[in-house]
Amino acid sequence: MRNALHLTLAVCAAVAMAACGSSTTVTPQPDGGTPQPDGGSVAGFDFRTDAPGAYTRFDRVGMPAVSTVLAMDKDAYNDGTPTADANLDFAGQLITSLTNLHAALDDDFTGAGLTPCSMDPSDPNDAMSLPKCLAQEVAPGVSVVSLVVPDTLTLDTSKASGFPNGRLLTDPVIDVTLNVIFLDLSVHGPGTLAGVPINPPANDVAFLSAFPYLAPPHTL
Amino acid sequence: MMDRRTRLGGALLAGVLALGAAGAVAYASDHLDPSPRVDGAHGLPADIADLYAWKQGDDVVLVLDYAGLVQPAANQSGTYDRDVLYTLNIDSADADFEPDASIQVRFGKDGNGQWGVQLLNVPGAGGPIEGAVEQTLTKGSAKAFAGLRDDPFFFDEQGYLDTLSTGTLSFDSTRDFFAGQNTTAIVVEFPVSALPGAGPHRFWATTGRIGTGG
Repeated sequence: MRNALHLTLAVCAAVAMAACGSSTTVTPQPDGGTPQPDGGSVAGFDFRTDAPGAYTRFDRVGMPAVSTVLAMDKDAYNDGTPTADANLDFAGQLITSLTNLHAALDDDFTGAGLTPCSMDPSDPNDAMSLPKCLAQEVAPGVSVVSLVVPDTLTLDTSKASGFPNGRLLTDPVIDVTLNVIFLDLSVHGPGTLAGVPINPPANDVAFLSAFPYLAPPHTL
Repeated sequence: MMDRRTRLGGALLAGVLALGAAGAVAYASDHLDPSPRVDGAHGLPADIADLYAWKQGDDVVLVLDYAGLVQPAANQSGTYDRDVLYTLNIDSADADFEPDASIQVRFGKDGNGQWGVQLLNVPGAGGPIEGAVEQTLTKGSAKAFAGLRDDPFFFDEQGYLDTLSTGTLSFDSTRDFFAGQNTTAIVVEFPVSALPGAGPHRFWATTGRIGTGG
């Protein structure tokens, strides 16, 4: 199982490349004043100037619910990186969780008239040598496993935005996630459970059409 | 139809119970995860709730909200902590899962005790974005906002918790646990053309607290 998954991921896995974006840069000031290093403040605020390495990791989020629902060692997962994900440091946990869930639930989905996908390692997708649940495609060229490992939110700006291509504020992400990890997508579209729905289909208040998009805070 | 809903709910309930047995209190989407680290005032500011990313016209919008599950209160403000670093990572250029850009967000007070926000490395901004919280800040071709907002997530979390505690199926698609609750959000918008590569773009967010020991 691990080897099969690794072979699949190796195709898109890391080639050495220097990280960037976190180093100190020098920015010209709009008033033509003395260039000032990033960090500190030009506006009188007392911001810390410590480098990112001075902070201890607390939380990590990419796709909704993956770390919450499927990761078993939460601290290790939150301390991890997408590179570690791609190295399959956590793939065993995710597969174990998902396999256990299918063992408990598949009869129930079948009883509800739905066709679950297969997590049986002896029933792999021919092309990818992965259990069909992980190899099945949510959209052309987008497999379930590619959405979960590594744990990042992926956006192709040449296509319409909407989970799992990025995430809109209005997207029913939990129902869609349950749909694509539990059901056979060759039988049921990824919007099947959201169409029931299982969870509330929309936010309680309307989002804004303009920046910053989120609704104002609730008041007493 | 009700039968179908009930049976589907039952199926999902079984899954939730199985997860509970795995030892996690699962507040979807990421609220109160990692739960062992959340201990009120210290943990809440670093507890990410949700991450969003979408194309808006010619721009891309990123939303990171945190410190969720906040009930409205009088004179309420967002949750700001000088000791927490928020990072929005972007891998656009080569799909190596290492950030090609890392937007860093920090909070600090001015001499009058008013909170401000600083965003470094925002694509298209041309320099640091700084200013008061609860306001739209503009620099270069980028916009930023940090402040208290409605929690945008919707999910029957209460039904899930009730189900765990009572053993009775309690899912209800008309019940939104996050309705009426607030969260603190960081929102940035900048041109798609300013992204560090052609994509597809991979986004992930992290939080860290100054010093060691989380």
